[in-house]
Amino acid sequence: MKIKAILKGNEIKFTQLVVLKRPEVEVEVDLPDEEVKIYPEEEIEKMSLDGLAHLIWCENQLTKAQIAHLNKDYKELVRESLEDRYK
Amino acid sequence: MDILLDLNIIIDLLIPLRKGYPIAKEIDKIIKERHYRKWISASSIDTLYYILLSQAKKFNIRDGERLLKLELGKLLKETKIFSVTGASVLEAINFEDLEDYLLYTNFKRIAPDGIIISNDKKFQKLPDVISSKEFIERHRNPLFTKKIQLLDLQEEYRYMIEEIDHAVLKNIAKAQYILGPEVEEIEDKIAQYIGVKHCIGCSSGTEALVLSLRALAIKIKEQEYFDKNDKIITTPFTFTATGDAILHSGATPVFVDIDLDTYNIDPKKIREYLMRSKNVVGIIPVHLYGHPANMGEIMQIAKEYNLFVIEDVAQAFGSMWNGKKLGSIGTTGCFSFFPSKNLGGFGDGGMVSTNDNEIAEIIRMLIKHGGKDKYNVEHIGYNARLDTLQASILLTKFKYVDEFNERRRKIAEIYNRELKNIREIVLPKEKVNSYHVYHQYTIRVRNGERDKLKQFLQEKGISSMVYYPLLLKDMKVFNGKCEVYGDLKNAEEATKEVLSLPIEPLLKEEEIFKVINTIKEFFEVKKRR
Repeated sequence: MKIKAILKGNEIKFTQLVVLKRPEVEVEVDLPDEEVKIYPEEEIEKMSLDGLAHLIWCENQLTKAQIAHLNKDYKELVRESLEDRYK
Repeated sequence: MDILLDLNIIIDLLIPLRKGYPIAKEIDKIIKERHYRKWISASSIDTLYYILLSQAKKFNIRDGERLLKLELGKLLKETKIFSVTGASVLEAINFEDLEDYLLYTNFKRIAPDGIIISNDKKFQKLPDVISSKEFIERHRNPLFTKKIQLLDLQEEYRYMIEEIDHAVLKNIAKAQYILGPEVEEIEDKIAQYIGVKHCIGCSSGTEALVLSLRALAIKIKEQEYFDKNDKIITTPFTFTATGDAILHSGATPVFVDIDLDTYNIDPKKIREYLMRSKNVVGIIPVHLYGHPANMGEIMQIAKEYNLFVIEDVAQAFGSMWNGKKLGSIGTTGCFSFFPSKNLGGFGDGGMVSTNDNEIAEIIRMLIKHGGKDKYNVEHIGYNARLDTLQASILLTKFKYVDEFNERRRKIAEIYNRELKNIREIVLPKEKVNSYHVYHQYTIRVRNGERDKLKQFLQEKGISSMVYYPLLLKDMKVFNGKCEVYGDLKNAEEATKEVLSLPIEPLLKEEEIFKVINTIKEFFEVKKRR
C-alpha cells in the first residue's frame, strides 16, 4: 500500500499510525527529485576532506541553537564529549 | 616545514559551521600550497573522534558515525601522526598542563624546527607556538629561508614515521637483537628484488667487500687471505673502502683510469693493463653515484682472463645494467646501508649478493666468527652480522626505495633540463643500457670555478659536496701498497671539477629551482664582471 510520510533528518515519520507485523519491513520510498540529493557511496568515498565536512555538518539543516552549540569553546566540547562517552 | 595543529584548530577545520572555520581553512590552504607537513599527536585522535561523534549524535546527523570515521580517515591521510613516549608522560606529570606538555615535547622531538598553531593563549607562551592569525600573517608571503641540504634524513624519517616507529618499537620489545627473523626477511626480499640466489646481511658496505674478497681467497686459493702478488683492479676515484678492502684481503690494488662520462672504471684501461701484467685475480668496478659501470665489457674481460668480479653497489641500490639489477651480474655484489645510501638504515649495515652457493656459505661463516659452529671455527672470521634492528628499519624503507629512486630521477631530469645551457657545466650522463639512480647528482664545473661555485651556494644556504677530492693512490694508506696504471688523467680531472648538488628525494620543486637559479645567478654575475 502507499502511505504518506515525512522524511526529516535520519527519520521517516508516518502521518498515520503504522503498526509493523514483523520486526522490520523493507520499503521503497519515492522521493521528489527537486527536494533531495542522493550521494552514491563511491561519490562519498572520493570526496575531499572539506567536501565531506560540508556534507556532514552543513547539509543537515541545523537550527540556530544547534549551530550556537557547535560553536561552544573547544574545551567545553571536550568536556561534553567525555560526559557523553561514559553516560 | 612541519606544522602541528592544536585540536582547537582541527575542530574548526572539520566543522565548517564553527566561526573559526574560515581561518582554519586559510591555514590549511597555506599548508597545502607551500607543501608544509601537517601533524597531529596520536594522543589527540580519540579525543577528536569523541568530540565529533558526541556532536553528531546530539544533532542526529544522518549516518554520523560512519561518515565521521570517513572524515577522520581523510584527515589522517593528509596528516602525519607522531606518538607520545612513556618517558614524556612521566615528565609531563610535573607540568601544569599535561596535554600541552605532551604535544610540545613529543612534536619537538621529531621536528625541532616545527611550528605549533594553537588558539590557546596559555600554550602560546611556549616558543614556536603561534596563533592562527600570526601564522597566516607570517606565511602568506614567506621569505624562503630554509637551508637546502644535500640529503635530509630527518625529513625522510618524518615521511615514514608511523611505520618506522612501529617497526623499531616492536623489534625492541621482541628482544631478538642478533639474527632475528627480520634479517632473513630482508635478505630474502633483496635477493628476490635483485634476482640472485643468496643475499647475506653484514655489518657494513666495507665489510661486504672484505667478506667477498676473503671468501674468494678461501675458495680460489684455498687460503685465508690473498698474497701481495695477487692484484685486483679497481678505480682510483671512489671512497676509501673499496681500496681498503683489497688491502685487508692481503691483495694489492691496481688503480686504472675512469671514463669521464660516467666516472666509472674504463674497461679499455683494464684491458690495456691486463695485456701488460700478470697475477691479476679480479676486478672491483664501483657503480659510482648510482650509475652502472660498463658491466658488459667488464664481464667479457673477466671471462677472457678468468677473473672474479666484485660489484661495489654501495651507491647504486636499484640501479640496472641492461635491465639486470646491479649486484646480480658479478661474482658478488656488495651493498652498503649507510644512512645516506639510496636504501639506508639508521646506522651501519651492508649485504653481499651472489649466485655462488660456496661463496655464500663461506660468507655466512665469516660473519659469525668464521665457522658454522661458533665454538669451533674454521676460518679467521669477523663479528660482522647485520643487526636485527637495522633489518627491521630496512624492511620498512625497502618499501619506498623504488619511489625514492624515481623521485631522484625526476629531480635529475629537472636539473638536466634547466642547467643544460650553462657552458661552464658538464651534466651527468645516463648511458644506453643504464638505469641511473642518482645517489649523487654530480656536475663538473669547468675553468677552475668549482670551489667558487660551492662557496656561492653555501652563502645562499645550499649544501654541495665534492666526492672525491683526492684519488685513492694519493692517500697515505696506499703509499707503497698499490700499483697505478697510466697517468689517471681523467680521474685527476674529476677530483678538480666534480660537485654534487642536493638530491634529497623529498626536495620540493621550489627548492630544486632555488638551487638552479642560484647556479644560474653565479654564472650570470661572473659574466657581468
